[in-house]
Amino acid sequence: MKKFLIASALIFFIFAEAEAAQIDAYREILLSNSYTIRYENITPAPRVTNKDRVELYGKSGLAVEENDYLLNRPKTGVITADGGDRYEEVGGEDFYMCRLSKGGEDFFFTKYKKRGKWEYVGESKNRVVANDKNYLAEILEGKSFGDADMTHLLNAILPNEMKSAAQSSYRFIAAGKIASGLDYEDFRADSGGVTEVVRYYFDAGKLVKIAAASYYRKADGKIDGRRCIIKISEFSATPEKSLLKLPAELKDVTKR
Amino acid sequence: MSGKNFIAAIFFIWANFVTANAEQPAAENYRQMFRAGNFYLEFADKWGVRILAGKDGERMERMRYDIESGGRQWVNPLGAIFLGGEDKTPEVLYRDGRFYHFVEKEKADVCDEKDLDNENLDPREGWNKIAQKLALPDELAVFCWNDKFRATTPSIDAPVFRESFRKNFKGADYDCDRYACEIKTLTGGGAAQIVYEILYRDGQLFRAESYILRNERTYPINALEVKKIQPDIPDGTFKISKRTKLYAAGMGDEADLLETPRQIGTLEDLR
Repeated sequence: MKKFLIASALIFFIFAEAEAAQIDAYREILLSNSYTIRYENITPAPRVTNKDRVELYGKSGLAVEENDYLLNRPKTGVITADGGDRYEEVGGEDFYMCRLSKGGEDFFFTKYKKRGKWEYVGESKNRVVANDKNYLAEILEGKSFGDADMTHLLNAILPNEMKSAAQSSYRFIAAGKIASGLDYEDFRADSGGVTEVVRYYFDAGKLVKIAAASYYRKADGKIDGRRCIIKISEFSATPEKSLLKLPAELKDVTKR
Repeated sequence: MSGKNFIAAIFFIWANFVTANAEQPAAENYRQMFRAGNFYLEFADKWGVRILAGKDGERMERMRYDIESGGRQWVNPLGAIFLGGEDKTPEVLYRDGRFYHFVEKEKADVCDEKDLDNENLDPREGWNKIAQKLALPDELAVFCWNDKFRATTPSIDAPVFRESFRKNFKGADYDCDRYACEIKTLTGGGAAQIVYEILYRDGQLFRAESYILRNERTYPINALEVKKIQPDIPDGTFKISKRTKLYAAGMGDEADLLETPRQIGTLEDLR
């Protein structure tokens, strides 16, 4: 009986490892620092409250959730990286928040559509200045991947030894196939009174969707939570180099 | 080696060891001053010159001016309009369990400390940032790790003294104390270190720097120059007009929705 239990446990772990293999390829892509990711977060972000106060050393990512225009609407995002150079943009339809990281500097700007043409605003229209990269926030919170949801759900698949103790630790729970034919891999984290489950969907090995739900008990004893669904249209190991430079319309006016 | 020489050599080694392994004597004084809560600190970093002061449980902050624009241009236009020269009165004040944010000279938004975690609190009013303005700067964390207003994270423990040495800054050598703390990973390892270097001139703190040390590479975080650090608080530092009109922090009620702030009296009414 004892041998049977050990054998069963071994089979379970081997099966679990094998089933979790599909996300591994995407973890490797992120670790290689060479990728292009395009996504749509169809779930509006929650209103930022004063509970979101862990900003000891600033934010690692774009303050998308604090932008009134982007509140309560789905967002699309693009992240591309080639070694230390990175570009992120998050927005919707005709307005995007953008960040280009190059040579240890961050260029923050917005782009919006006016009469069918993109216009760019950094420090002022068509001018942008470099900021020192906030390495400390990045070490504490992990790399930014567009909006807060996508950042959270992609950092979730990275190894624990790369995450600061303030981040959540996710463990593999289950894998399977849904009726439509998509494979899934489930992960769970329990941290700071919040339980979170994340499901990564694959279509023939290709990551196509991420769904997450989290819940916690409020001070009055009631359960609260939220869910989030992200569609992935591209997750490749090929950087889109055309995005890794400032748009021609923007002039770098940094005093160095 | 004669016995006398041997003893002299041992003493020399010991003296060097002690010098390299002892903080500057003033360090403990600063620690005690911040712990006692009565202090006046004026410092400059890349964002501007700031004043932070504490007195009997109260805390105030104000930004004096923007360094890069030439020293006397007010960052907060209210400074230029209402205050002129050397006014040190607060822009943010903590008193009797309440945070006050002065939006004009005699007009302040007020939030009770117990409401800071209230999820109905209007995030556009930025109370989280307002409260953090009262925190002592992180570059001085080695003296004030447990400061009431400092935010903390489980990833970082208090910095530990590492060594004392002479450091060159702008062509001159100064006594420098180095401290470091580990940024911990989920597996208990070290992701990086935050290093603090505190420079002393004639035994007095005059500069503090912090940087990240990761894979033998350093990444600067911030540096500040201390203009004044003392337990004595200049007159007027905590002075605010009793006629100051107070407005309740937005809690998502009708007044909040209509963007008509609700006046709850004057400072005189509350005292």
